[in-house]
Amino acid sequence: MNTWVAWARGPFLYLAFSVLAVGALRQWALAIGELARAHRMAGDQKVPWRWMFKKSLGWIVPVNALRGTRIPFTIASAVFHVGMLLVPLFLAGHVALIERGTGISWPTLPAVAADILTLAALAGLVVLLLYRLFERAARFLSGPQDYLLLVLCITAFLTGYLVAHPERSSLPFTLMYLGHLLSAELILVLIPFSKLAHALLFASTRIVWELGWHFVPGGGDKVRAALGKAGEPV
Amino acid sequence: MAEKTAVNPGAAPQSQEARAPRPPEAPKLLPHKLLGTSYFLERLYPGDRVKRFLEIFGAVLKYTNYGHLVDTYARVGAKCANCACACQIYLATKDPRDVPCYRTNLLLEIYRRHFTFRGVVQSKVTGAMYLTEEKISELAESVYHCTGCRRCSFECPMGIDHGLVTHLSRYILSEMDIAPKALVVATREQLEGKTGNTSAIPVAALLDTLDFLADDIKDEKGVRVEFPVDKEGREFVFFPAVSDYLLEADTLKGIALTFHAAGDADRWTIGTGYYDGINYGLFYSDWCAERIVNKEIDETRRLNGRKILIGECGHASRSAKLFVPSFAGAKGALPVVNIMEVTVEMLRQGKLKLDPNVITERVTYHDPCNIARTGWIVDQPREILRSFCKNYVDMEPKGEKNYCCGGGGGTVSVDEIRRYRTGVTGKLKAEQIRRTGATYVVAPCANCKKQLREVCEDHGLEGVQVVGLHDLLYKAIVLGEGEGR
Repeated sequence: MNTWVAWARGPFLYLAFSVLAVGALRQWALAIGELARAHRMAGDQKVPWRWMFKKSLGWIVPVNALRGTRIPFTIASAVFHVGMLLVPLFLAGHVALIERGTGISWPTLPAVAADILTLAALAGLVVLLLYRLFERAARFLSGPQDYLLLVLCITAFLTGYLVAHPERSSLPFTLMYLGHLLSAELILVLIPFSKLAHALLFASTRIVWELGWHFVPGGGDKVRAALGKAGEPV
Repeated sequence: MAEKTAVNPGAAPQSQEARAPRPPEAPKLLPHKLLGTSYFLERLYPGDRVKRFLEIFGAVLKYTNYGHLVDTYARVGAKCANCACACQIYLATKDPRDVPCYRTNLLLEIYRRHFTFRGVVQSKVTGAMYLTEEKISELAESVYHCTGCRRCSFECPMGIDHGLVTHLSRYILSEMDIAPKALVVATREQLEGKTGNTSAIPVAALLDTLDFLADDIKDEKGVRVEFPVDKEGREFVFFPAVSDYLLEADTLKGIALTFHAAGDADRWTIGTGYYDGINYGLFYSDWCAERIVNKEIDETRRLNGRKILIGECGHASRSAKLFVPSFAGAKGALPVVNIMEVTVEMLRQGKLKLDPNVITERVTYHDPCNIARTGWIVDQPREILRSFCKNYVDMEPKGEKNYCCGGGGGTVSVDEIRRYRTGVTGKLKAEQIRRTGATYVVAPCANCKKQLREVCEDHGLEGVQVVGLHDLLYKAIVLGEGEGR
């Protein structure tokens, strides 16, 4: 078991971060290149940057959505995302681990705050899972990936909490530790390859939307020519 | 194949119209024999439709700006179903196949399986073709269940514009002749027909109509108001939904009288070269959209006009505003103005005198999605209405978050799906109108007017009159000294 932990703390961790880094760079490069291409091809090159910035920000702070009909979902989702961003990055244990490997460190969260955020995120995740399981529309849309990713996040948070508080459960510490390392690494690896990619592409989705409406002059003719329909009537 | 395609529009849920009488028996829908759609098709691509679909999708990804959009959406789509609570169709049917994200995913899944590295590998390994005839049929039916109102765009945390993806799906399908016959026939007349407009109104008939309308105004208001025709160098060249010349006489009279009363009759003109604001390209084909909007631009340039003025029509306004710079370049693009923007300006400048004692009945305002969803025209019409209607009430929700009339996205022109439009997509709208208790529903959009009249008829809202904004102005305008009565 301890060999496994050593592997998970060492080579696997480096591998997970490398996959994430390479995947993220590829996606960002692709996004920037494609956006530039779309902008170049568009007939209307004016882009309302301010409006888009406001729109994007509006979803980072979803107070507007709180007036909607799915308020528990919005709150649960927001709480989970806050935990998902803050705890992995600012937990004292994580920063210590990174400092040991790289020598870089940064300020950390107080243990109590990390605990609260973790439990809140877990509660949020459970609410999200309940929506998937019991809401008609959400259940119909959901595939295996949608459930598995939720379960994976729950595993990472739950095992993380038990690693920080081994006295609160009778489960073996090493197993929890291994479970935490592996589930967290799996999340990192999956970010570029699953719908978790929204973590990387969130900032650009509104720009993508806006440029999607900037149509290409002559595009329709070229499509028809490629299909061998040039000059055909409607 | 037919039973696989999405919900039968005729089969509205039992709970609908608990209070309202049931809609009268609509003519039985005859699903298209070959595809199983509830709307009629003119013809169908005779060859291998699966192969053709992929060819078209590939060409569209290559030559247009949809490529990156589809790719991003295929990566980030979280399937959270937040959009369901915004969609009036899902709220009416509770059929999960009507959830916007589900519809979007029909296309995104085709992209994932046929146009991404992973999808292609997957197909090679399993040897299975993902796309099938059935999937094309389902998509074909599904995209015309949507009215393209884009209300769901407020709800998607991932920023997916389901309206745009639906538009893209329709565009791809239209290139293999899958599009409602009603839209295709009208567009053909507009682009290649003798009359050059969707209602097939020849110039002589247009001129007759204008004379007739001018006589009407003379009789009713006691003043001679001309409809300026082919005047060069005017500020505005006017493009209403051309069907207004047949169906909405009061709206057109109202617009002419407004210009006259404000002393601005020399600011606008109607061109006989082209006089149709309708652009069904917005609903189903980028190729048609570009050709149609160029006709507006050419006519405006021919008459040395400075701005394109669109009448009371939502999609005509949005398509011109969107497509003029898109297809003709933003530099030196002709500005596009909606008639309500002009009228509210006249009102603010004190050029219009309106009698507050003419319209005493309760008035409410329906926001056409195409001009309200982005917040473009929301306050202007309310400012006008509040200035002379004593008993004005708003619907709830309103403005940017309004409910669609139920006939958006071109579906209003498809007569064979009337029962679906009024019973399902128009259901929430009917309830909304009923709650306001209004006599006049002001709907400044040719599309919404037709649909709302049918909704009111089918839901037993008998006392309700669906009118244009300028219909009411026509009644309330007070003419200057020495003219009018």
